[in-house]
Amino acid sequence: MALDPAIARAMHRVVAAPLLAANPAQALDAAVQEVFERMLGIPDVEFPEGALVVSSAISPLVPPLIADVEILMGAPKDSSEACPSPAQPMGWQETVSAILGFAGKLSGSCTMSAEPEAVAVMAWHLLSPPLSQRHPTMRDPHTRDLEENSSGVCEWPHRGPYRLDGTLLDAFGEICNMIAGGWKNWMLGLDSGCALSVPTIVSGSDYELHPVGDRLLVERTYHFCGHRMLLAIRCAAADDIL
Amino acid sequence: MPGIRALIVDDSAVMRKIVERTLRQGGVDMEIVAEAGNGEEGLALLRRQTFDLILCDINMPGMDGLGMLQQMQAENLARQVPVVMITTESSESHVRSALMYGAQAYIRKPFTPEQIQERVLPLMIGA
Repeated sequence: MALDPAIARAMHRVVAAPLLAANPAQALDAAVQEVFERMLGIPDVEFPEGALVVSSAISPLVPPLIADVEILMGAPKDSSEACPSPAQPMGWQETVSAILGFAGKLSGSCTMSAEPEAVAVMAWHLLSPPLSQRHPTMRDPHTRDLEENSSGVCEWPHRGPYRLDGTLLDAFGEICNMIAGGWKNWMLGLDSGCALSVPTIVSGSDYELHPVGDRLLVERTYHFCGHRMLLAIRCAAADDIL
Repeated sequence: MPGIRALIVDDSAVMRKIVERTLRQGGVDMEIVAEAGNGEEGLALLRRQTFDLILCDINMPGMDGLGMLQQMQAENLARQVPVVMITTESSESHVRSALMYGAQAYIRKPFTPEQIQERVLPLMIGA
């Protein structure tokens, strides 16, 4: 069936933007940067630890992909080694994890984990309008100086105890949703054979996640505003995808 | 442009607020903003109230956004009301389906305020 020209033009505007990424790690970086810059107003997300792991736990992926990533990151990992839990990285006391499922040509999960204050910082940035759009009289007088003296990027005005309420967790889940969707888009382009679930939030300490049957693991630690988060993509895929 | 009545359908309350805020910042004067957490809730509101603009996610628990568009067509609901999809899904089939089921614009998350304004404001002027 021929597509209506108006619909074709509208489609072009939407789907022309993302290009296929060279590998899953670069796709994850691109997705994270896009979400942090556009939605959180944080353009400078760093990944200094290079904590990337690519593993084929069950059967090998396309071998050149693994080789390329290992060379790129300098952090090869024995593919026969059991995958560690992404939810409780070493040294983190308590974490909050947002988990989103892929189903279809890519099947598996995207897990975003962070300590509670990092979750609050991310949520605060998502929920706050850009500084340039806040009216001075509407600002909290306790934080006005901080805001005006800051670079306008990473201010975090709250001091003292805070509570991760439903709104903050909702925001955290949405951030994970957009990153997972972005990663999928970078990997599959216009392909439509993969569905996303809605996010689930898990929090606490001393717990592990046990995904089953993943063939690809991409783990990456990102730093922002003095905080860090861990993203882990675990999935199996049709052979022609990865 | 007088104040409009908008319906925002998204399972995330945070995202509904962000969309509303972005529209207001872009100059859309909204008199009423109704919110729904999935397609069924959106349809229930559409059966009771009249809106000037509908903004809708796709992936939601229960009835998703495409299901809501299909049902709107089946029930002949809000035929003249512009529908804008705002979603993480940007595959060709999703975009094609949404536009064929009556959406006038499609915005991929993460979005910029400029994208929202570029896609939504012309629909409001033409309404």
